[in-house]
Amino acid sequence: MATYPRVLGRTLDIIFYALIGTTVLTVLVVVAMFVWKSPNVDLAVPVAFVPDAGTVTLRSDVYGDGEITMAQGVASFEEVGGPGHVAQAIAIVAVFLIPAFVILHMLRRLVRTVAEGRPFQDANVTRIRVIGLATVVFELLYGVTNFLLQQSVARTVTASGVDLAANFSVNPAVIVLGLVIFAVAEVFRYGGSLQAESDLTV
Amino acid sequence: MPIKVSLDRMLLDRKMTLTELADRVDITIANLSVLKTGKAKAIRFSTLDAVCRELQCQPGDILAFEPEP
Repeated sequence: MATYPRVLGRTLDIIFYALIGTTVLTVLVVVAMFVWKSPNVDLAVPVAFVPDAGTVTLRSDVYGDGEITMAQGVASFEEVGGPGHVAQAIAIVAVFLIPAFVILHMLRRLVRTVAEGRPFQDANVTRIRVIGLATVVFELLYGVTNFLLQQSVARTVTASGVDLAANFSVNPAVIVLGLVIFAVAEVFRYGGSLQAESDLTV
Repeated sequence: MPIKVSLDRMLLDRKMTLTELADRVDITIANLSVLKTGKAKAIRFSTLDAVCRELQCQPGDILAFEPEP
């Protein structure tokens, strides 16, 4: 087995099992907070807001006068074991961890075939396509979840000095990255046909 | 595939087994088997050179073109 893919494979294995551990720990902490009201962990939620008119002024010799039209950040609430924590844990699991697990699982299998010297297989074409899809889905889910959480905060929280709002945004670079990964899958598919040709060349 | 490989007939004529030929030409039995059974898609000149040298034959003695009807 080639050394670098083997090291990469081991690294991915460690990250994979660390992610499993983190997931289990998160679920246990949330259950503990909900059932026993302990430990006391602040609830962090994403927020989007517009400062009240006249409260924030921007002046620049380069850009002139301006105002903040939309800002995003994180709000921290003291809530022990409430439905907010459970909702947040579910959101984290669904949005971050499921695509992360899918991508890591596919990557581990892919790197194993590279280490074994047989990377150009149909199975790897599928795996790379799944990674590309998971990347795009992850970014879209992240944008939607962020928006829904911000909306929930805007509806249920009163704030002074700012107008709470909800802002939907996705990082186009990540979407493009997903497309690049799909293109790489096609390269692997072509590689597979070259490999098949080579295998039957004596 | 219109190219027919008659390696087994030549091996019989030269009283050689596939294993012996594989050892002599330094090609795996698996690869020679692929050639013998007509599953090969291509053959390198180096392989053809080695096989013909060991079997003391011409490429045309083991390769033939038979167009499909």
